[in-house]
Amino acid sequence: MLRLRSVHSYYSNAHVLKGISLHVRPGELIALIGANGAGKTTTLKTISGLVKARRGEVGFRGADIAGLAPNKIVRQGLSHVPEGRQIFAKMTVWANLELGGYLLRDREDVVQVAFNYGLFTGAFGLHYGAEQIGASVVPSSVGNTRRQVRILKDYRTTTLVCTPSYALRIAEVIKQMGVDPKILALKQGLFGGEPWGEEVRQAIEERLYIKAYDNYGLSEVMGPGVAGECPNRAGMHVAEDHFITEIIDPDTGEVLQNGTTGELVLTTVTKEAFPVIRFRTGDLASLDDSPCPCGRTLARISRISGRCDDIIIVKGVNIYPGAVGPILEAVTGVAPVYQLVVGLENDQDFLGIRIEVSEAMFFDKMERQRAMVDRLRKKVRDTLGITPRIWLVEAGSIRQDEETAPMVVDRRGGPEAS
Amino acid sequence: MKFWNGENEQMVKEDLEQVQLERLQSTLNRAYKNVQFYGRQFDSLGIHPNAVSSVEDITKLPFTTRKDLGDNYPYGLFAVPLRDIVRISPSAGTAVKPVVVGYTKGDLKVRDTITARFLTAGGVIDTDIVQICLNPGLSGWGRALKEGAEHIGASVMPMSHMSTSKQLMAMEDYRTSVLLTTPSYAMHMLGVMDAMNTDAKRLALKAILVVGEPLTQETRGVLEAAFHVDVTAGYGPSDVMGPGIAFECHEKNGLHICEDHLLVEIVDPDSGDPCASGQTGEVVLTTLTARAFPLIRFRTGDLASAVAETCPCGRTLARMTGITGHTGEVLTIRGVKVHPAQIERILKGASGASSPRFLVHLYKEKHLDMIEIWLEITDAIFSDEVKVVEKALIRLRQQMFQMLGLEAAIKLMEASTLDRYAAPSGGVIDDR
Repeated sequence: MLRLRSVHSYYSNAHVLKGISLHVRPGELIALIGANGAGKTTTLKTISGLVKARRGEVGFRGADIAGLAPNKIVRQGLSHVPEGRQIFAKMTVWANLELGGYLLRDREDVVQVAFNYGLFTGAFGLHYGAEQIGASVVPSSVGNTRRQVRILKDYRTTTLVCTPSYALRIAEVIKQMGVDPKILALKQGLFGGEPWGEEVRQAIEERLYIKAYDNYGLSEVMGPGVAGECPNRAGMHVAEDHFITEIIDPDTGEVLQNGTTGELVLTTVTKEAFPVIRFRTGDLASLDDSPCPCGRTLARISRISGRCDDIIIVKGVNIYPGAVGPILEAVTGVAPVYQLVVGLENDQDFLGIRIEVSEAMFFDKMERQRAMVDRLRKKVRDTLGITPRIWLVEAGSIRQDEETAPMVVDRRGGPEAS
Repeated sequence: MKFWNGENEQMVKEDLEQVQLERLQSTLNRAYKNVQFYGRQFDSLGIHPNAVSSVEDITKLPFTTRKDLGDNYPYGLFAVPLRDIVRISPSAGTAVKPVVVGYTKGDLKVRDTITARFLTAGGVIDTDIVQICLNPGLSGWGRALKEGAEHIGASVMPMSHMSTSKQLMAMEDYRTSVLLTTPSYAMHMLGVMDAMNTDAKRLALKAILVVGEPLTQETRGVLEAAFHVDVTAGYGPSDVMGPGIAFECHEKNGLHICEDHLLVEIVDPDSGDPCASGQTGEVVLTTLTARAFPLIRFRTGDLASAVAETCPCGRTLARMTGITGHTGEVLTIRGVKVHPAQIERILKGASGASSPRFLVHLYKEKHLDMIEIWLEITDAIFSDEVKVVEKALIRLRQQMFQMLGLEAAIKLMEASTLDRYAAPSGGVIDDR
């Protein structure tokens, strides 16, 4: 780890260190003991570069650091906390030593949060988490993708936080704008809010030249950060010191063996305001408590493979298909026959609603019909927070094959395809 | 609680001046050393920060304008390296270029303190349930208010895109006790409540704090009577600092300035000379504690005057009046500052016309500011197919919303119709 070989240091002409050799291995604590003037401080100063060694080698992690400027040595992760100055007198020894981590590169990350800030917990959760690390956070929110790309470029964003489908949209607009993604400072992305598979991951990584990480959370439990991938990206580590994880059979409620896919059930153990006990998330996953090469001992859940209820997730918004009916009824006055269509356009989710025209909704004037569609669109947007496309279809065209006509047609492909 | 920071809000004048001077000198030195723009400005005038030996000496220093902020996009005015920045706030700005403001962890703490003072003065305490209703164009402030209220320990519903009726429903169901919004949106809520036949007595509301727009005594009277609450106002220049750098106390007679964190000057907008006390002029701000984004003599474009008397509330912090107007062409629409040049830029980009002719029409509907762009029909936008034109208009509307955070209506007009208004292109017809 740290190796000194025959180091000689001088204060002008005074020869203070005369061939010091020293070796510190990883995990080792070494103390230097000696009388006043023995050269303890000079040895430390020589290591941290405050005093230059005239002869000999100072090696750190296999590289020679003798002669490097002190600030460059600190940047390599080697710090010198002089006790004599009592600079941080009130802090513990450990906190003093931790100052060596002061220049962690994370603090230089620029994190662009392109989630909708509002009642959705994803944006605020990841925002404050990144600030806690000391990264610079750009709350760019959603919308105006060209502006997002300009921010990405001008602010030298290193980390993108958004839904996976929005990442693909951003990649598309980057291309349209003639920006070379390779010149961006972007190195990674944390994506969530909707289920996404390995194909989408690959597409994001290839188009944006980044590493894409999945994370898991839900607003009922904590928001984001319940679980997240490490660089090995083989499952998401659950913050087990805060949540107890179970995988159950969604039908019987029976707890399943590790490795078997079932419904994820979470219990909070540190949450004060809104504790949840055995909360059924409705998300399908499996559990793996084998050790991970990254060093974390926290168990991992697989990436979410789907849902065990009929919730659909569009643009990160959870929608119960059955809840759409009353919203439409509030505008049309009668309970309409309808069907939800979910699809992708320009790599972005959209929600479509096919509504059968009944007599109550039929107007002889186009204008009035259009006004009603506008009202429907606005009502759904106000209630669900997502602007739908509305198609009026002839009576009987959905009902026709009622037996087989599903309430939701999901054309997005991937694990959620039906 | 009467004060959030009693010690600082009731400092004796001599102590305050000492604190101000120390912090000013430190700010000037940091800005001079770490920000190229300020370094050059000072050097070109042959001023060294050390020449400032009293707070009054600040008048020797040059002004900073919104244009300067835009010219140094994105990180040019940051006085600390990026690794010390924890938040970067993008904002449309009102100049041609957008403005980027950075905050260190310490800056955010200061902002929380300042915001907490404003909220405390308005009667907010830790058991309150606070609801924030602001336009998307003011989302930076929405976050500042949320964090300030959380700092006090109140429960906060952050701003979100909900219809007014849903906001009102939440207000009733969640037993909201404090509403943070703009004066016009509070008036609009009142109108919607009337239409829904909702009685304000069913609400648990006890205070409304308003930001973004000046609060007239008339509006205050209507809101206080209708909601049975106290209404107080905060002030902050849009997109640069927090929403409550100056705030009203329960005396409701002028806004206390957080003088330990900011210096406020009132200057003649034309000559730049200091105004006499009580005389209306442009508000000029100098930050005293900002680390990431120090501002020196920043011209806000807002007009107000200083209030000379000490306040019976016990705060020694000097007061200014609410904003009485703006210099230049900046418009305030639902609290969002908009410059006609921004609108022109959007029209150019989206309509395909190289120099679109347009007028901006402002009016009120149900107490809310409405903005209408009257755009001249040209070949660039006109097509025989109605669909094509409609699509172009939708695109324009979307652009307006995304760039300004405001819903704008676009009306196409014949050149001859526009000619009837004796205003040059980009002019404003304000029917508010």
